[in-house]
Amino acid sequence: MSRPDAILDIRDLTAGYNAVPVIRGISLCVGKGEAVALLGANGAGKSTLLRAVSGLLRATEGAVLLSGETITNLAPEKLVRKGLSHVAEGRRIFRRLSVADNLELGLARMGLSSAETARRFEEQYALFPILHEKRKDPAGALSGGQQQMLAIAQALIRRPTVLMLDEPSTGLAPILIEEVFDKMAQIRAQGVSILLVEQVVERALEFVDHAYLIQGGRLIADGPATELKDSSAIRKAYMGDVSIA
Amino acid sequence: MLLEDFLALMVNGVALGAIYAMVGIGLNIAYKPTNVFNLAQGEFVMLGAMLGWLLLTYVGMPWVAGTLILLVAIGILGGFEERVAVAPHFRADSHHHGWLISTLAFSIIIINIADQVFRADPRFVPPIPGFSLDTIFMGPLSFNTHQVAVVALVVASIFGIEYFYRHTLTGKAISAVAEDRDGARLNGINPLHLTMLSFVAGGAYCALAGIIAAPLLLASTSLGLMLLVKGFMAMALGGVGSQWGTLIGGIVIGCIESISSILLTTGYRQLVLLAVVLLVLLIRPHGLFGKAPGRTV
Ligand SMILES: Nc1ncnc2c1ncn2[C@@H]1O[C@H](COP(=O)(O)OP(=O)(O)OP(=O)(O)O)[C@@H](O)[C@H]1O
Ligand SMILES: [Mg+2]
Repeated sequence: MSRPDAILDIRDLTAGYNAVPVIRGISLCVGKGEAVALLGANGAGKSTLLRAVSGLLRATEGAVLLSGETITNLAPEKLVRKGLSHVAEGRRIFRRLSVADNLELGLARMGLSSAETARRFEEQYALFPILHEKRKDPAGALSGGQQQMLAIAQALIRRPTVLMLDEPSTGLAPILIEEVFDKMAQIRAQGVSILLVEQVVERALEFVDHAYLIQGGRLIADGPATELKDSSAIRKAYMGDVSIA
Repeated sequence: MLLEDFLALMVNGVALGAIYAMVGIGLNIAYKPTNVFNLAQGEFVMLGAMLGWLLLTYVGMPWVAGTLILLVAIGILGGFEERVAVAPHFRADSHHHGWLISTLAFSIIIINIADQVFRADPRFVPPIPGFSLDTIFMGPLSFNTHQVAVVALVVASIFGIEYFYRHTLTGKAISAVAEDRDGARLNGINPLHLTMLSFVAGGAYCALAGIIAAPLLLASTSLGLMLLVKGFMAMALGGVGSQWGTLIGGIVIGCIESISSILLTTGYRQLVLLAVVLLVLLIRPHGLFGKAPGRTV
């Protein structure tokens, strides 16, 4: 399954909570500059997979490679310096801190010079002008869409090679969802590889090159986005087991 | 009651309350990135007072030098406690309340050793240099300058603590860990470093509380438990995590205690105090100035 050009290479990963596996033997690849979607119904294990990759959760079996280097079960705080950023589910910015403080924390342990830090801030403010405008406001006072932009900017300010996004459009109005996808397109154009978990399946499939479908913690299908779009596997993944319904 | 008497009791209550607040703030400092109440901190205050007696009165060191040594020593003790009694609970993946037992155990060890070394007699510790315990009369008001210094020191320390949390990178990182531990880790922040740092800082702060409380309360090995309970009350009343709230809470408790000391017997006094705390918490469960937890994930 693993490809030679893979930036993020997940091999037979098994992980769960309290020794009960939630995802089992999942393999997934993201190539350089590629955007890949991870799709599946609620509770399928999408977030669990991302958490296991970024080290928030222990993988009990399998391996994760980033640019060829094994990073399995590396602590998340070490991983960010290796070029993997994970924007967790639910717009988890620091609500009591200001927008600028949130960005500063994104760089907290990168050990950059102040000139480089300023340059990184400029980059994010150029991509998200609204964050510049609101840089002194507490992050909790931002609208939902702005909070999501902040969460993405916070991950992006480290200039990751791989960006994992967990349902960035959840709870946003359609026009804001479009804005999120627009930003993701710009990020991708900069050469960042993207692993995207999304509920807005159609829109996600328009955006990515390749998609993986999981159900009940197992991979049930994968393929180029254009092919999966019309496949019955998608319906199956979201309807769940027909025998239960 | 004469106005003079009433005011004297109030002054006493405010100074006492400022000390209770310091204990509460010490608890807040250690709690913030850890969600752990360090139950040994009452004994850190006691150690601050007793070792203050040892260094300042018995050995006769200058106040500033002796106090610095004390803050460093008890800060290290706090860091040591974090390593042996708290960090192991964080390394275990699932969350337990094991810290409740382990920090309590640590406090029991300290009090037992202190009892062996110092015996139970109360000891005198000198006031902060430049200040004194002599009563000054100003109109109907009577107070001593050490009381004023204690209150000023608490206020100044709160400004310092708030500045640290708001304006330094480490302080912001601690706030981030307090709000969302996993979120902080995804930003490259290692909570375990901040946990240790907060225990060191909480320990040193309690030592300072002990050394400036001792001239007013006398240093004795029984000081720790009493102050831990009052510090908790101050913090609960004011709101966990709120330093200004804890100061107000401490002053309310100090004043109630002080006023009731001439109206009520000891037993009733504690009862009145608990009734007030419970009543406030019934109406405002997160204390007078506390925030409801921002998010539960
Ligand atoms: N902290 C946890 N402890 C125990 N079980 C959990 C925990 N988090 C998730 N689970 C379980 O793991 C399974 C997968 O959850 P996960 O959050 O990975 O799903 P998901 O695909 O991200 O769903 P959603 O689309 O709702 O975000 C679910 O059955 C869930 O109940
Ligand atoms: Mg999820």
